[in-house]
Amino acid sequence: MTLSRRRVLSISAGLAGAGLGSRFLPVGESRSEIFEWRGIALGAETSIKIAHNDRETAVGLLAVARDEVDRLEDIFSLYRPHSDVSRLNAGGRIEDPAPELVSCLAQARQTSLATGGAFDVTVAPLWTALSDPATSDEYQAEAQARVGFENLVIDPAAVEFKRPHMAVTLNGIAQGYITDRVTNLLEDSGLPGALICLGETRALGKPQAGSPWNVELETGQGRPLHLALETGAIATSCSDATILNRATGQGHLVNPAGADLPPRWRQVTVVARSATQADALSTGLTFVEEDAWRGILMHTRAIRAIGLTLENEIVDIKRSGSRETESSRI
Amino acid sequence: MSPGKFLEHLRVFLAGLLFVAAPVGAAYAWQPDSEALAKAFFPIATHTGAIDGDPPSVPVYQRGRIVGYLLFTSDVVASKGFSGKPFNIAIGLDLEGHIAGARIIEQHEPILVIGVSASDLDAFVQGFVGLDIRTPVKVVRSVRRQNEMDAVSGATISSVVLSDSIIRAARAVARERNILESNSIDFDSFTESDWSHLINDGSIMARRILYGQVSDELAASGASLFPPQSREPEADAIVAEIYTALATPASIGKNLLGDLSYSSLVAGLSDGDQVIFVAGSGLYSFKGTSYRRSGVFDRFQIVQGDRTIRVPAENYKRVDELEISGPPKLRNSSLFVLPAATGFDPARPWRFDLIVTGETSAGEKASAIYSVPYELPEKFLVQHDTEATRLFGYSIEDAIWVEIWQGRLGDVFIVLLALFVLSLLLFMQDRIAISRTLHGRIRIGFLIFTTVWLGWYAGAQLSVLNVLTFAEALRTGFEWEFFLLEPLVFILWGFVALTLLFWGRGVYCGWLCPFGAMQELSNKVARALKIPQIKIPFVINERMWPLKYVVFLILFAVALGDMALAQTLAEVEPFKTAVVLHFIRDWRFVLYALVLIGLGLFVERAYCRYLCPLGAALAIPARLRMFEWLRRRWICGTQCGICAANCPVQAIHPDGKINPNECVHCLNCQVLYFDDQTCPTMVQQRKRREKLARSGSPDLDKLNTKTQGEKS
Repeated sequence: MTLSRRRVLSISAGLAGAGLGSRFLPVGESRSEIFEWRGIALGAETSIKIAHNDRETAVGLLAVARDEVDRLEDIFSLYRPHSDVSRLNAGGRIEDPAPELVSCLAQARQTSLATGGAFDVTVAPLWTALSDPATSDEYQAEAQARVGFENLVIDPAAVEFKRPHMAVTLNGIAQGYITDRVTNLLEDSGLPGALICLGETRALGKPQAGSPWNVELETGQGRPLHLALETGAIATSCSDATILNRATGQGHLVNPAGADLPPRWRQVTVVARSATQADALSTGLTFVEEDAWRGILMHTRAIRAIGLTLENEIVDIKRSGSRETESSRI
Repeated sequence: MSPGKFLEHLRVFLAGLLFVAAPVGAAYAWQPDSEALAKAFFPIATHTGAIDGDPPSVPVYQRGRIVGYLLFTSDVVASKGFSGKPFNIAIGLDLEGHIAGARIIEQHEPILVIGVSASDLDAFVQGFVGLDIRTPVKVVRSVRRQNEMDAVSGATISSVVLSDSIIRAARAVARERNILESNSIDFDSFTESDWSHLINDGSIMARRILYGQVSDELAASGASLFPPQSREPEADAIVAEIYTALATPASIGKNLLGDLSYSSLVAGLSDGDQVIFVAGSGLYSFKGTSYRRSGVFDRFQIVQGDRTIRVPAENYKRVDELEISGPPKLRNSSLFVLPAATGFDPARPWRFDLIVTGETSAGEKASAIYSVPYELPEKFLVQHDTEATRLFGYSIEDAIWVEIWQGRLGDVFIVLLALFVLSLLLFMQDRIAISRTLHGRIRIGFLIFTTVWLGWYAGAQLSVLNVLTFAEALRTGFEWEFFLLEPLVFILWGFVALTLLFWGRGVYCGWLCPFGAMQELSNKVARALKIPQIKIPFVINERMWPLKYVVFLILFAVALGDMALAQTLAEVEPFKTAVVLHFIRDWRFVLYALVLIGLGLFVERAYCRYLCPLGAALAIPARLRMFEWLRRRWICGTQCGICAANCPVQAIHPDGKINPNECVHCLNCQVLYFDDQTCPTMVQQRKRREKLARSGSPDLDKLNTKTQGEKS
């Protein structure tokens, strides 16, 4: 199972077409250079770009970030048999789970509550059932019965499933979580500016005084949408990016409430303070009607959500209380 | 015929012309087979793992156990060989930091061209097997002591670069894989300090976490630190103030704990165990109480690199009282032992992660994580020795050339002295030219120095290969460091660059080229033995001059496409055979060199005049020459042709013009210029002078001076 995302986000270079580098520069520090690490994390192509005026320090920080990504993969990766997540899925319970797993699952649970179950990490059994070429209604119904975040016990002492044969997939959230952890780590190291693209994109530090990051969002409408991103995170989910099952045409996003309930949006982009939240919400909102979006944004304190309807209409909703409040249909 | 095919044919054809033996294809390469290499280097190996790490290496297993690593120099260091093209060597590195095996995978070295075989080079690389990579290695030209590698004869630069790449790559991987402790720590020396001093010098790291941060972050999980009904603290209330330090060094631990507690703590440690100190105040304890039930502390973890260390309860040591003066008010002070088995390396940075767990209104748990980064202050790190430490870093471009220059300081001094003397001679050329005997002695003396010391001893023979490599470097990325690797060649080229502007190609060709000197000296012997000299008619002479330019341009053109082939073709220069390798080489090369010298017995410097591509390469930029030094008279070439007839290299046109592209600046024409027995003007003046002397004129000296001061 590969989950390649269509590239729909890009951080644009700004009005005058200046290099990305110039956007990182704190005023008065014109000698900063951009250093980049590229690699694979959780099966996705990832990169970390940092701005620094000292090569050795920058390379050191990237090494720190790389080690951290590697360490977190040991917790979250489904591809590593000894990861906490793999062991949880295999045994139904792990003692002394990594605190990062507890922290990530707790945020996942909160998103599940906020979206009324439209986002749910325990969707894994249904996902497996749907991706099976020999899937059947009974198989799916049986799998559906094993889905439910309320049956996942999250505790620093142990994480466990209340029911047999449950499983979690953190595909909709772990990349965001790793992005946040690496961002915090770089921030703790005193780094002024960084752009962390570990599956999701999070900006650290303010770009040049006054001007926010320019994020270009591909909408499939010919004309990309431009968003201004201050310190914060942005994530996008596309319901038609990957086909899970050729036989059934099932997309890779599975509605935890039922396999027969298709996505309501072609693409959802969420801007939030943390990449974890942006990642989880962008997945969850795919199965939520527009009417409920504003309430969810209020409840989760996410900043903005932009949806592309199945009819290719753009819906842009900002949480009231954040800078702009009007919602618009373009 | 495709260009590649054509070059292949050309190579074979020209190789045949040059009496080249079998191994003509200089570069050889094959796809490295990690598994096979690993088994060759580690006989006990059963399989290999996936390539991993930065720099990357392949773990080699014996069943489930890692026995060593396989690495490729090209993955680690971008060293360029003599030809400016990278090479690749596979290296086996065992867990003790010894080189278990080495093999050349890909190679474009000129040393491989001919004469020095691939097996010579393999043998050189084989010499690294068993080497402890911690000890510095030197490449030497002659006898071998411990940790010295013999250079491949005639291939010093390549030997140095190969050696440097092997060691540097192995060390970088050893460091990445934690085979070598990069630094050792000064645990023992003790300086008394108070708390604020330890904070200021970074021995203790601190972080304050406020309630506002925590409540914000836990809110993302719908949780809070305190039950909803309880009174919420202010946003700036301190949840935790964490202090952490490595306690094992005496200057930290003994200051914190006092002599007695520190001593008993250290006494209880096994080799390689480390102890960290953690203290905290605030609303939230980093210890909690659940460790008593679960046996593991769940409110913090130690992270180093990609390693997470959870501390079990039995590794906790309570600190009753701190002995240090001026500590803040602390709720908890603890010591945690990190056994050697955890792989914790106190010399590398690590961090203390505080895990703050709260609850939702439904009683569900959620956590937030706050890191306190720690890096042992540099004063505790003991540098093994300057050279070894310098060589440990793979990202820092080490100046191996400095080492080489230091090793050859004596030679460098002699060359500089020789060049100084030569410059003096050239600036005072009139004083020398005025005496035939003096000029003859100086000339022969210097040529002997050039042949014996500069050539046979020091091997400082410039080659057209230098020119080709330089051109290649300009195309692909010029690095001074590379050209500094051979000090004498570097100095000579610097001198040649200057003399090209001042005098033309002649100074190098006539005075500093060992093979040129060899030809001239042998020709002098031949003349002394009355071997007849062949006078080539000027018309033919002039039409044979361009040949060397053709040779040079062919080499230059080929080098643009195929450096290895160009290197083979550059064997048209007999320098390597006659100078660097002292005629100890395959007989075909020796024969070729001897034929050229033999030719020179009859036609002085025949090779220089008609064939030498280096001479051609020097003649081209020498057109920038700014001065005329060689004196001429108006009658030269019009009424008199003595100089032209006597020029050893026939560089003087019948019209009297000296061709600077051909002149070797031997000063023979200048000797004639001042010779009052040969030069018609001088003869005339001498006769007048003699006549005046006979008539008893007092102005004799004045007249003499005036004649000598005459300008060309």
